[in-house]
Amino acid sequence: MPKILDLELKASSFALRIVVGIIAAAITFFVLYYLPANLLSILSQFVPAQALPDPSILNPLLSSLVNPSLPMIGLLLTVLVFLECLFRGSKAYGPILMLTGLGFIAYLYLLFQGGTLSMTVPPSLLMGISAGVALDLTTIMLLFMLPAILTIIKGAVLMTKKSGP
Amino acid sequence: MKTSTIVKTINVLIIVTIIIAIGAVAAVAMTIAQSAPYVSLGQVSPNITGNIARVDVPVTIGNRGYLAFADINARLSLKDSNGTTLVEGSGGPLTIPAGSTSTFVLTITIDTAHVTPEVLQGLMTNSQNLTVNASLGGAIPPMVSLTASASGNFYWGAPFKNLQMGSPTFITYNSTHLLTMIPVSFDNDSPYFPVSGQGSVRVLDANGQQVGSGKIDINAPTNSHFSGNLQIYFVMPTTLTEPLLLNDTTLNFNALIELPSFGMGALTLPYPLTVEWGAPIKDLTVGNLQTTAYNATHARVTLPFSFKDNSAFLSVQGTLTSTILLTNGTEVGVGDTYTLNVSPGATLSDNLTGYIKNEAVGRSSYMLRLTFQTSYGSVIKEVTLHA
Repeated sequence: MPKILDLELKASSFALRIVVGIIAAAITFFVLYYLPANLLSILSQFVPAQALPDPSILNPLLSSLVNPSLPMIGLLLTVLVFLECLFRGSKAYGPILMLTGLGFIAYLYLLFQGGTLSMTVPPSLLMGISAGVALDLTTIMLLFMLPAILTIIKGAVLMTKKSGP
Repeated sequence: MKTSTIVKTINVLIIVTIIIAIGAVAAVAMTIAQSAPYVSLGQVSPNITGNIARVDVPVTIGNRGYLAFADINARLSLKDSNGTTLVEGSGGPLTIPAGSTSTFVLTITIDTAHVTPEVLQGLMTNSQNLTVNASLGGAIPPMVSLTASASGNFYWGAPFKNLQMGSPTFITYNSTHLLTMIPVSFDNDSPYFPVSGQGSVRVLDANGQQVGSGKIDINAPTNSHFSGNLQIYFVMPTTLTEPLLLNDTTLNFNALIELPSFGMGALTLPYPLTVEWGAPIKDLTVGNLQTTAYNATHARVTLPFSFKDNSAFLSVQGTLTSTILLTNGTEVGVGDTYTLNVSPGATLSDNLTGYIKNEAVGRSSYMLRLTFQTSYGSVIKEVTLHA
């Protein structure tokens, strides 16, 4: 019978956790790592090439929208989500939940660029004029952070329970 | 409270907050998506008050979403390379509650005290960097607010860069009008605006009287060179003043050229037009008086003369009469009427004949009064004769 820290599991239950963990991790990997890391190539598959600006214009535009650290945090969250599935109910579950919550908060903060998405339109796209667009999405960012904050609280509660008498 | 209850409560809260977050995004997206088809541009209404030309651009927005649009505003200014403000615009702020329709009016003003015809002419003929400052804002409170700004210089390619007019070539058209061809060339340096259509020209003399008019067909796509001929029909002069009959000169006219300019009405450019005028009776010379006996009262006189019809298009047709005077003004002889018929550019060299009183023969000098009667007027020229 496999044992994960303080938790003893049936072999079937352990296998199920592995499968669920892999599925959840795969979804997380795709959404939080693959999409931001390959935005340009994905865009070009769905939008006709002639409708897209020149790559020399589009690349810096996307780089200003997608923080380069996002895929790395997405990768970290993939691992955490897998561990979350695997260690559910064990004493490591609380800390993993807290780390996952923190990871999501960091991810959201970088995704929303601190609440205000700002983008510089390359001069070559606008008759040589440099233009900037700022989209204040602070409220939406905070709304999306709420589940992550609650996850941290949940992790803290579970950790207290596990460390209690 | 049991830990499991707390955890369950937190789980529920997590689900609720996820639903709220997704719902908020959906509400914003639906508000934008459902309102987009109800954005329409209204009737643009220009009006002029004093020096201010104002153009109101109404944009009607129907908010069919669940959230209000607020603080919709726009600002715009455009300056030329000298810092002259060409265009200013502003609109808003406007709030459109959910389910209602409002009109956002962007008012664009042009102060003609600053934007003079000379400034516009400069824009049409000189490529330069224009400075633009623009901003746009709006919000869907409390979820989203947008601010966009643009500033910088952009290259304005003049549609009539290096506009040049060459020297006119005269071609006689008919008895009343003179056709002249003036080579016109320019570079359409604009990457945006093609220039095509018919241009026209009015030629005014120094007194502001129209003396000619013409046209030119233009087809200059963006970033292209154009060269063609401006055809001007001048009204053939019916009378010429003595200086114009006898002396070459440079005539200065003011050509008002109206060129087609991409939906902004015709561009009127004043252009100084100079015409090198050739005198129909140029370099008039009279030789020495020769006399031979004729009868008891008069002697026969022969008088060589010449002049050049230096006009490019006017022939000299008419008569030349002459009178011989003593230096004190007493008339002592008369010439035969000479018929003139000299083509443009030709030189006439011939003899005048006539009679002089016998008592006046033998003087060392005389005065000769020549009267040219042409279809463009008459001129009297007095020259000293030597026997």
